[in-house]
Amino acid sequence: MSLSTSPRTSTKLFTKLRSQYQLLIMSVPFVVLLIIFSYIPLWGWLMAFQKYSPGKGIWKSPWVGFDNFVTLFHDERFFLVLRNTLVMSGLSLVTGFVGAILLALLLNEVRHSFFKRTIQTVTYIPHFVSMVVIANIVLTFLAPEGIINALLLKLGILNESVFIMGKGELFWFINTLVGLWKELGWSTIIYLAVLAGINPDLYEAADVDGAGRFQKMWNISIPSLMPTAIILLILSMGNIINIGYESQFLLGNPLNLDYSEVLDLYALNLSFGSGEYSVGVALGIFKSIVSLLIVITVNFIAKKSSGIRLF
Amino acid sequence: MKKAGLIVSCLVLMTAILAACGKSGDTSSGDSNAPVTYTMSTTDTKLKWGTAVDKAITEKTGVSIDYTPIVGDEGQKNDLWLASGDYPDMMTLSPNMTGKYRDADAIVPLEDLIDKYGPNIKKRFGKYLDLLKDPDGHIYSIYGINLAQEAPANAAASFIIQYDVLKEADYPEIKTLDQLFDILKSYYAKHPTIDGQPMIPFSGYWGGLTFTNPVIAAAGLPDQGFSILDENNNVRFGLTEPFAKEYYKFLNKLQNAGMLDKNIFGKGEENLAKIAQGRVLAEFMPGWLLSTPEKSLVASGLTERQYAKIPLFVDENTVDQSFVVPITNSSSNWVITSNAKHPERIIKMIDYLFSDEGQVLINWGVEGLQYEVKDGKRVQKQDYTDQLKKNPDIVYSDGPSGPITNLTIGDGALLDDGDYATPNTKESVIKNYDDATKEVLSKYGKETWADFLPKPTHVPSMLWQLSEPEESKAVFRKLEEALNKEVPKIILAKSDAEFETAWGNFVDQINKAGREKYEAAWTKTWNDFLKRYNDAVK
Amino acid sequence: MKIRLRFRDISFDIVNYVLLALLGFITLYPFINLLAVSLNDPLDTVRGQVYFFPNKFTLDNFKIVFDDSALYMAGLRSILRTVVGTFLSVICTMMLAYTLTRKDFILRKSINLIMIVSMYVTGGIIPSYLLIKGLGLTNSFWVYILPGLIGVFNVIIMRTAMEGLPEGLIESARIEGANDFQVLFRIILPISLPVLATVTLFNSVGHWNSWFDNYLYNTRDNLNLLQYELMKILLQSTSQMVNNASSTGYVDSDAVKNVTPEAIRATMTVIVTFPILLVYPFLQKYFIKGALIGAVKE
Repeated sequence: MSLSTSPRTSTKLFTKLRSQYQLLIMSVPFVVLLIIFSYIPLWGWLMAFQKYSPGKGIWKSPWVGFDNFVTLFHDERFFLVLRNTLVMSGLSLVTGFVGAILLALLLNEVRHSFFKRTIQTVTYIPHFVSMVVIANIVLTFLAPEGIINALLLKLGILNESVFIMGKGELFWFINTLVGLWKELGWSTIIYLAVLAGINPDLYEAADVDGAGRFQKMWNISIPSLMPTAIILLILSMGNIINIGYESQFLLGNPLNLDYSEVLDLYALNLSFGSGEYSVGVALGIFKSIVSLLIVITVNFIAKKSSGIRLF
Repeated sequence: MKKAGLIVSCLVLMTAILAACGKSGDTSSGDSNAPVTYTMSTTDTKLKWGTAVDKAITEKTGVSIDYTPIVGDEGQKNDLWLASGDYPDMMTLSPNMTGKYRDADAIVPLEDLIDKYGPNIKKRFGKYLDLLKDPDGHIYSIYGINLAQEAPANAAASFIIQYDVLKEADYPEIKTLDQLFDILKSYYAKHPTIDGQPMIPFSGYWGGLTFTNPVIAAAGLPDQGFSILDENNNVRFGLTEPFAKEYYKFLNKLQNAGMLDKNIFGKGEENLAKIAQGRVLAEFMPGWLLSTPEKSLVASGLTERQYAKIPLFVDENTVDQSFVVPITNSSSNWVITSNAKHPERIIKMIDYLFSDEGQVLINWGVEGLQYEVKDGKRVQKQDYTDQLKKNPDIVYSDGPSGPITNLTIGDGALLDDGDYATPNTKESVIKNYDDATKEVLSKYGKETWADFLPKPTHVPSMLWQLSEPEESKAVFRKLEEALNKEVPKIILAKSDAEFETAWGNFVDQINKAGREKYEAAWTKTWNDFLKRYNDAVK
Repeated sequence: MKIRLRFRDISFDIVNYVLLALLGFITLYPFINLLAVSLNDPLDTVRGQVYFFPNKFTLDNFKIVFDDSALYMAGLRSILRTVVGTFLSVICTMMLAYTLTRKDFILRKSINLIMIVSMYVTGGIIPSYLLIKGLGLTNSFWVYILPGLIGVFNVIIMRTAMEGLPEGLIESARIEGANDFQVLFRIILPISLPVLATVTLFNSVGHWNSWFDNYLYNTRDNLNLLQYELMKILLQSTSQMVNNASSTGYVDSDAVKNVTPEAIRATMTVIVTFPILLVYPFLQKYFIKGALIGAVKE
């Protein structure tokens, strides 16, 4: 304590630390773990400024400055791919977000416990089915001789069967629908948990006031969902650029390439083609920065407008 | 709370026990024949050392292999091992990956070891031994060598035509795509459907197998990816050549006649399904892909829907030069890493595998189990081949299996005893044909599909066996991109004018993508290799 | 008036039920299809006309998968991993989340920041591998538990839920002299069951399905997990097709087992999804409205 220049603040801090020692026990070890496993590997970011080769390691690989970033941003394809990523991400964010809340609310209105449980279980099953299988089913249905074409022909909407997956413009919507189909049920789980936690007294009081179903939904259920929904929204806004590539890769074909190629797929090709990690890491850094900027911005907006914040 | 604590400590204890099982000892010995175990990576996850063949090898050399399976991305795992120095004692690596390991000093150079302990290796490679050397004079990896003078009996062309189509046309001699078009057209006119579903006169598996590989094959040129080699040993991007335009014209003609698969750019599984339904009359498909749907056809009794494998060309004056055999089997190369103790033991084992005795073991197996000697010739035992048909997995319990089989001197090659080195002989191939197949072949006066192919030419190497030049890597990606984007437009063009525009556009895009750079880089790589080759073989 | 209200109610119900049933059907289809494929003769499946029922019923696909004796031990290890991993994760997540709901906690802001940023940055696969190796976690069971012990997403979910709890409850407990552990485990835990169930579900599904850490860090057979072993079988079926091309004559075109990657993949999915379908109903009761009446009213 003699080392301290300002005994008063340090004493205060010390007392506070002491009084919160239980909280420290409950958090510090885990934060240390988080720092070890998430932050220490960040030295890997140095690779973005190298022509990294695993054999040479970080010490011996040659430094190339910003070359890898230049390679990335100078490719005209990069921006096309970025556009596809943002559009598809945006579409699935909006549909997924609205869809999950809607489904949770509808499920919440079901009174037959058995029906409710069954539907709930059934809707989350596709989450466990690998994308390869899902893509196969989708492609079979949408093929020129598939069910969808047959249906449209029968209804007279089409005169001749079309190769639906060959229409680039449709790709974004098909991909969004497929994503929704696969993940909708799974993403309602959080909301259902929140709805289950609502104090039943609130509904009872509303009943006494003669409120109808929609009024209860509007005045009780939805506001209770809001904090969680907004937090989830902020989190997923941050991931708007981290779209993955599995479904795009599996559903894509040469005819819809201009619409289906996404950032992660592009990076994969890039590092396969050039056999290098460095460009991939450079892209990773770019994505991290964009993600964090978005999260900070959205968080700020949310805090100002609703008082709900992520951090 | 106490209860929870108890549970936690129980769980911790259990996991600690589990973790402790994970450690294993490792001892090795330099004694000439003392038992020693080396680790080796493999992507074949069923591989276990201990087959009858393996045991025979261990008995002779003392060496056993402990396989470390790679389940997932092999290149990534190799990179991780390299970055951390965790690599197994032995690995099989692609030429590119070998380069990475070499640059990291992770590979033991083998030339001195081979000189000292490798009499059989030296004998087999003979004048080609120096081919194993890198430009720096070291040998970093070893692989099989093709000493065969004749075509492997199970080789086949990749253009496939349904038996029934040929039958109805009365088994015509066909050589060109135009002839194919005509017989497909008349067959399709008569049989527009099968089992109520539309017939598909011509289909394609996916991407490159639709518009890259067949283009080169139809020009009678060997499969070198996008590239072709001209007579001056210049590497050229092949898909903008006149013959490519003709091939695309063929596809375009099919398309406009309504004879091309409507889902030609769909996914491969769907294509396999259509083949298995007997609906596809012809396409380009290599044998390894075709075998599953063809078996499905046979299983459903549709033997007449199987496929003839006949080489086809853009025009009838094409000389078929497509069948080439590289001298070496370089592609997945055997390396000894710096983690291996007493690498001479490994070289001794590899040397044994190159001896006559070793070759018989890794190709034929063990006498009395997999083969027997009749009239002084090795033949596969009937009961073993029957068993193999029922359960191919017996190669994992009886052998031969695993990377040791890569060290073969090739189908059709002879050992010192004058008999074949491998059991892949004409007789064994014919034995597996069904009656329908034999009938079609007999109409053409052939015995095997390999008979449709020209005699193989030996070439120093294939382009894809060489390390990809640094400068071509980025260009390659752009070429591939242009190809994937532009070629579909050519194939689907609705009129000749549109076809010409699309073609012109494609050529422009390829030029823009850096064709010259690509060609220059590969030409240099190829000629550097040739120089080394000529020096070595001289 | 009342009758009209009821009429609106009933029509809403009908529409709702029909809508949900439809959705249920659509989302169940992939699984039905998988089940049909897994029970169908693989060579028939190649023909591509399996939709709801197997055309040629067979149990061969399951036999092939279950034939692998390594599968059973791997299954036990997966269960152990799921149970241990989930249990530890949920407790740790809960503690960390609780500290973050305490507005006076001095590290609250810094921890929040550290957590959020960690979600969006990654050093890549090589540095992670070197780290795990440096910590001596390769070829150990703990590599399945430790790196993922704290899922930031789960912490945030739980934190948000805890913030929504009636503050009076916690305040009064603290005034009565309860320490933080007591507040968390005696007061908060019993009324947080829905979110606890959610986090348990997320964690256990994550553990159950993961194989990538197995592939990256553990090369010894005696640590392999179910998903990893199944992946091996799947790869095997793929490479068998390719092996076919190899010209040693040993694997000629007839001598290949009638296995296709498609059939194996379907069978695998059925096998790993089944336990989840069995366990889920036990967690599900916590998602049902009104399960907590007792807890809250107390």
